[in-house]
Amino acid sequence: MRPYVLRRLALAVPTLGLVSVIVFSIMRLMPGDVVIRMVEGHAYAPTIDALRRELGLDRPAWVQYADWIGGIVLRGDFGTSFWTRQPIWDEFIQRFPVTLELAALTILASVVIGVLVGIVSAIRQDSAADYLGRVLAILALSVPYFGLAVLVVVLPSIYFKWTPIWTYVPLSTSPLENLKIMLVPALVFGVTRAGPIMRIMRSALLDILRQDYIRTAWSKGLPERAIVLRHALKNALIPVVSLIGLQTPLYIGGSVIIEAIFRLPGVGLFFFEALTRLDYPVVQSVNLIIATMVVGLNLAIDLSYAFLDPRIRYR
Amino acid sequence: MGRRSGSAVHAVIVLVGFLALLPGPDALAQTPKRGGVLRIADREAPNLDPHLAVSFLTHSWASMVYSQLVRFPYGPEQKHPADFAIVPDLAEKWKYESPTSVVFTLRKGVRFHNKPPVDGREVTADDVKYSVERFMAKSGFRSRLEPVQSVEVVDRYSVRMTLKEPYAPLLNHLANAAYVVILPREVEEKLKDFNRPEAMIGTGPFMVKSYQKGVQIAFERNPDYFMKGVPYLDGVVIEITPDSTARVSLLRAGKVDLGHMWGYLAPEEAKSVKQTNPEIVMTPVVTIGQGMIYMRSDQPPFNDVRVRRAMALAIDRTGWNDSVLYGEGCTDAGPVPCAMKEWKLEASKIEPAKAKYLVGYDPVEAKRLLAEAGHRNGFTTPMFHWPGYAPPWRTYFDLAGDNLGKIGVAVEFKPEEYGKYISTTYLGKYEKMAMGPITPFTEVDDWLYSAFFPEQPNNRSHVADAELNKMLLAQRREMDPKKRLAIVHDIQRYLADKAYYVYTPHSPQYVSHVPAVKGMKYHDGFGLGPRLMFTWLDK
Amino acid sequence: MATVAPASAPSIVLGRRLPRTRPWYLEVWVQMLRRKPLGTLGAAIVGGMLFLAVFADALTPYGFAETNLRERFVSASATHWLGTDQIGRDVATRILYGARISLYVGFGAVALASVLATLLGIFSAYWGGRLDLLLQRAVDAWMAFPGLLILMSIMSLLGPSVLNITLVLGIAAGIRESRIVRGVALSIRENTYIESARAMGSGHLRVTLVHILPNVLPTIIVVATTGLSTVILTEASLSFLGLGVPPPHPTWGGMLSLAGLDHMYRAPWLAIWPATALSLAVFGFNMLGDALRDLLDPRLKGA
Repeated sequence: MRPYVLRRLALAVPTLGLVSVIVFSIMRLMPGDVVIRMVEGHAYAPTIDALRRELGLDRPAWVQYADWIGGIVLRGDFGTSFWTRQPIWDEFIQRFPVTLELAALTILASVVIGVLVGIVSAIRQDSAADYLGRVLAILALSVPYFGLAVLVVVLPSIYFKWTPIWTYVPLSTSPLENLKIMLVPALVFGVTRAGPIMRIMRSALLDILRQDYIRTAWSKGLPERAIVLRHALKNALIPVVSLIGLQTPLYIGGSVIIEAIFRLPGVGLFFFEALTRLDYPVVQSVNLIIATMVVGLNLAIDLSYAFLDPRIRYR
Repeated sequence: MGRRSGSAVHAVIVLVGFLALLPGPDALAQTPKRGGVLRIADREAPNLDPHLAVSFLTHSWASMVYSQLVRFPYGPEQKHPADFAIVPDLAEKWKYESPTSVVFTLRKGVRFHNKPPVDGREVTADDVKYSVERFMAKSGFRSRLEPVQSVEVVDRYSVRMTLKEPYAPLLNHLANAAYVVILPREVEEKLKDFNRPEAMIGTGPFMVKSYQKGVQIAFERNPDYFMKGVPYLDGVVIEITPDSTARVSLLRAGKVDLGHMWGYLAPEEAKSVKQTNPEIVMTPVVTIGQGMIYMRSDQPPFNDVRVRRAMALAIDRTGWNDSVLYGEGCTDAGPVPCAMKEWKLEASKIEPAKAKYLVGYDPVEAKRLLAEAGHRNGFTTPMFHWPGYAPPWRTYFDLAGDNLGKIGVAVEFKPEEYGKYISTTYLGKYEKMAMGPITPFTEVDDWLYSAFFPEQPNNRSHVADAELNKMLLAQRREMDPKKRLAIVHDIQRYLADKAYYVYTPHSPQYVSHVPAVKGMKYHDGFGLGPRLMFTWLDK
Repeated sequence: MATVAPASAPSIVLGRRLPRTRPWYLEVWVQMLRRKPLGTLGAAIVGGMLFLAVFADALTPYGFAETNLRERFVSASATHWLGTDQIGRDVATRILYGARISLYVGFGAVALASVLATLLGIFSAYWGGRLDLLLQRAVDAWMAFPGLLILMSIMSLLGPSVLNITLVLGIAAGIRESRIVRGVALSIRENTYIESARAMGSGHLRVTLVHILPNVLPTIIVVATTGLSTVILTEASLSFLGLGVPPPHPTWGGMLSLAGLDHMYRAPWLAIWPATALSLAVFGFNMLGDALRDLLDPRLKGA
């Protein structure tokens, strides 16, 4: 195991290097000129040139890249936004806990709902409960989460003159208030994510339960069932865990709309607005930071495979 | 009964009649109450430096804490929402020594907010010179003051501006909250950066109390504001809400007093809110603004005026207005927008043969013109646009495609992402045809010179008309308002049948707020601070 | 004496012989309904939608971009069965034409994604070693990007069109799904019967096709059917952000995100019909996929 882990960690560096090059290039390739975007064409050429020099955009691409990466690696400086001229790291570190909390609560909601419904569906296969579970999962899948979010915000405002949007309060200031604010968006987001989890759970569990020795143990009765279920669950959770893992960027990307609708000052919105404004340093640095986290998360998940399924031991 | 008693009875009748006609006590202007915090839901300003930013959001926030040399009238001062008369702000009077030289005399005893590093010191002519020069050096809008040659300090409270040539738009640009606000030099020297909330130190009616990025910005009353008695409000809080549906929901739920900095609601939303919340006060306003189809008039097929005229006749403006805007919009939308009453020459006052290209609908004639221009079978054209503009624009794009299709012009929609759109198409870099709204201006020169003179940023149709250029330059240099108005009218008459742009009906906005908000009058200038200083809460 | 029924379609599908009591074409349906009612329903829904999409022109007198400003916001009438939208376009017509694009994008992207995920996942898992390590790092790099960035940049670069959206969504989903396929393939690879097959001299290709692929197939089917809804909904989010299929072509996602949400209070049917169509399509495809998976599962044959 250990050489594998070390190798993976070592490979993370070029992976992140690749990420940095890709995001840098994408931003430069995006049509539209950030300087013109910043002045919306009102300025004269001399002002535009001066601005370009000020932002360092007149230097060759590789110099800009080296400057950016150099800043991160040597000084831990993730650069400043073209628009606000404020350090990116400061803003990121302020906003990230919000998105993280939203993601955590969403995953919690979706896993609880999805796993429970999935288990019931699998155990009582082809029964009314199974059909109900599967139909609900499909319904949850086919509703766009932003549609649900808009409904949840607009309908009560029309019929009850109330809406589940509040001014954000950080967890450290008032945990109760914070959870109240996060509850509705996490549920809305989580419900729509529960569908795939439920279906994968059900499918994986069915596969395992079908195996002969499992079926024998199962038919023996309740105490055996509990043991069987625990064993089966452990294996069935593998694809669920990997599903969550590969959906992680979705939580960051998908959180944009939730953050916009529910007024949560998270990273998703920060990133999206920077993207629309062609704020290169913000998009690059935030992307790189998130990529590092995702790469780390995937590593953790791959290691958990080994834990959950003893047969997978890496040579 | 002699004449005397007759006239006495007459007098009594007149008196009684007069008294009956007097407004009752409720309708008489109530006395503004001091106190309360106004809550507004709107988006976040992308940055805070008022000279560097081009976003109207930044300028609205800036107008709360900064002042200018002159400004537009607001609240009880204004005659109507597009009243662009010039009113003293930091400058209490100004005098043209010659057509190219003007001296501003500042009020005495005006102080900056009492915050470090400025600490409430008095505003002087040096601050004006510093601010104007900084604007001219750094702002994306510096072309507004392009004819300004120099700014000199005459004495502690007087500043002289010297121009290269006579420049009629000068005062209007100085009064616009989006341009030259007066900043204290210490902020640049000590804090280096105007983008931080603690750097927002000015002479305006409000001061920044706190700013939680992405959540809310809170302003509080400036107790030393140089206009006595205002602001009435203790403070204003802008709850940052990026999503427009969420903003309207907050208004419906009573969690905010205004669902938008200027209270805007589109006609569709307004009708819906009126049904669920009949108590909300709504005032329809035809705001300054314009939207149009713009075409490369320097390339085929749109370099042929007949083709452009055909485009103009193909758009069913009345139909759009009646259906999408409930008949409340303005169909005669250009080249000077409907709301600019002082400068606009209505289509009804232009000879019908020309005016029909501004407001008419005649698809048969349009087809005939196309055939005459050699496009008997019509043609295909791309249409570049940003699909994210608020309603009614989504519908306008579809309708335009449909209307043009009916005369044989097949439209291929080319939606673009905002960053690309705003730095290319919106600046005139596109092929054939594009469509969308444009930033509103307060100065008529921007609607004319900037939109029709070659190489100007708003000249999206790439117009290069020598005859027109002469008139555009003339109105810019004409200092006599009456003569200038005559030239502006001539320009509109000239443009009527050239169809350089095809204007779309302009949507009214419903300025809406909860009933407790009083004294808030909509104004087309960007000044949020000045209008809120006259606003009060009746709670 | 029992009559021995000759081999027939139903008996091949179901794996046993049947006494002939009904004509074969009815018998298939009866058996399918009995054994997999939801799957049959799914098949009927998907088949129905395909039919409607293909024959949309013949089924409606209206064009999908045909505006009629005098008949806006009609809720349901004899001439407009599902009503009209904000500029008088017939909703039923737009749903039918929307089926074309939504199903094209949906099926296309999912098919592309499944093929890509299978190839990449099995290849990476089977070969293992350094190749697996490197490939997975590349997948890591890809997956570290928020989908929004990729989609927005590519849409900006290439321009939104039905083909581009299908390609982008398909490739993006495929790379992501290859992770799941790889996980399952890894488990299978460890099974002893693979080792014995190799020991007996079966070539790599044969082992892959005969042993690994059929066992991975059920997972692929489930992932693919889940993927369909993701693809259609991602198209809806793209429309919401203004990057979807360009006007005037209707897609269910676009109709829901744009006109549907804009006029939710005044004309709820503008949101309800595309949402229903969307849910039905997702439902049908998923149920069909479930049934197919159950039928194709090699461990079920002969069970």
